[in-house]
Amino acid sequence: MQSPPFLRMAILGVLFGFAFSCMGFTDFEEVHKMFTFADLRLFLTFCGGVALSMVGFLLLARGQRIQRRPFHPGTIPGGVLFGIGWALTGACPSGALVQLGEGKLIAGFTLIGLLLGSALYPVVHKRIFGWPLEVCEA
Amino acid sequence: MSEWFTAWPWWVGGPVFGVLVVGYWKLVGFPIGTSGSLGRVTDVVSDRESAKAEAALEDPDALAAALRAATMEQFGADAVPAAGSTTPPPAALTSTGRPPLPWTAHLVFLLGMGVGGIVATSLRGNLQLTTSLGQSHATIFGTGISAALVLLGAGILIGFGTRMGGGCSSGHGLSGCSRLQPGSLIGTGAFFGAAVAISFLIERVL
Repeated sequence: MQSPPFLRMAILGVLFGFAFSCMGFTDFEEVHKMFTFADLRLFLTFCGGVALSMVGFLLLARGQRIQRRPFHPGTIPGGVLFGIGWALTGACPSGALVQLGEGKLIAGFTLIGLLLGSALYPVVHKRIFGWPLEVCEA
Repeated sequence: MSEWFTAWPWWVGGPVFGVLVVGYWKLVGFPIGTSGSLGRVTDVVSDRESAKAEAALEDPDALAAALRAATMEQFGADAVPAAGSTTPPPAALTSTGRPPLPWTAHLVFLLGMGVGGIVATSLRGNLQLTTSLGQSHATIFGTGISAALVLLGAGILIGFGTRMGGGCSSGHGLSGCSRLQPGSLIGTGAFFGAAVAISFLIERVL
């Protein structure tokens, strides 16, 4: 059996975290300015990332099946909950981890919350929601 | 030189994001998704059945052994041919034909992000431990226990919401939107819209 690509995942994690920090996605003030449209730099960074990824996928992924992300009953309510949390913390899931690495110890509370929420979801889903979850190919 | 690692302009950050998102997919075999990786890690504790099932899928021999044991338990040993006489089922593969990653690989990716934060802050020359998210966050939410409780509660919303919505800003936002996935376009609209609304509300009220 092929050995798990730990080295690849470690390098990708470090590069992603490094870039995230240099862009300013870990800075509450910068993120807040993005959401109030006071400064469009991060918003344009995000849009640029989407555009470049689109070109990359079009060039490299032709004819390949990639994990699909269908719309399901949790898409909108889940997105709204995440958006509220992002606006209050200045951190998306990646952001919380990188903030902690940057030495912002208080982001540890965000991370603890993140882990609790993430662990809680499958339990609530099974007991209450019950719609079929998207096929996770990861 | 510290300005090289601070507030990259969008025409630097955008392409870097693009290269990382497509590079991740090329190297790993499935699209990036931080909340998905977090979910794989927390499932080990909170959703053991799914975690076990996924682990079994990564090892066809273990899966075959588990199926054999379950059949013997149900129908008795006679119902099961001797071990080794059956062909084990093929391992589940991702769409690129690679086996899925163990949760520990996802954990390594997440820890790597923290290391990336350490590296960037060190290169900026301001690696120090702080208990604040900056001046404006302290002005809005205060410091100490009140700020910590807001972060904890908001963190729960992020963790719960990203799993309910099936992705976060990397999985839905960058990777999903660039492939025009319907769930990602709607999901990104939902979280971005909610964040904009809450941010304007914060400006007004606090």
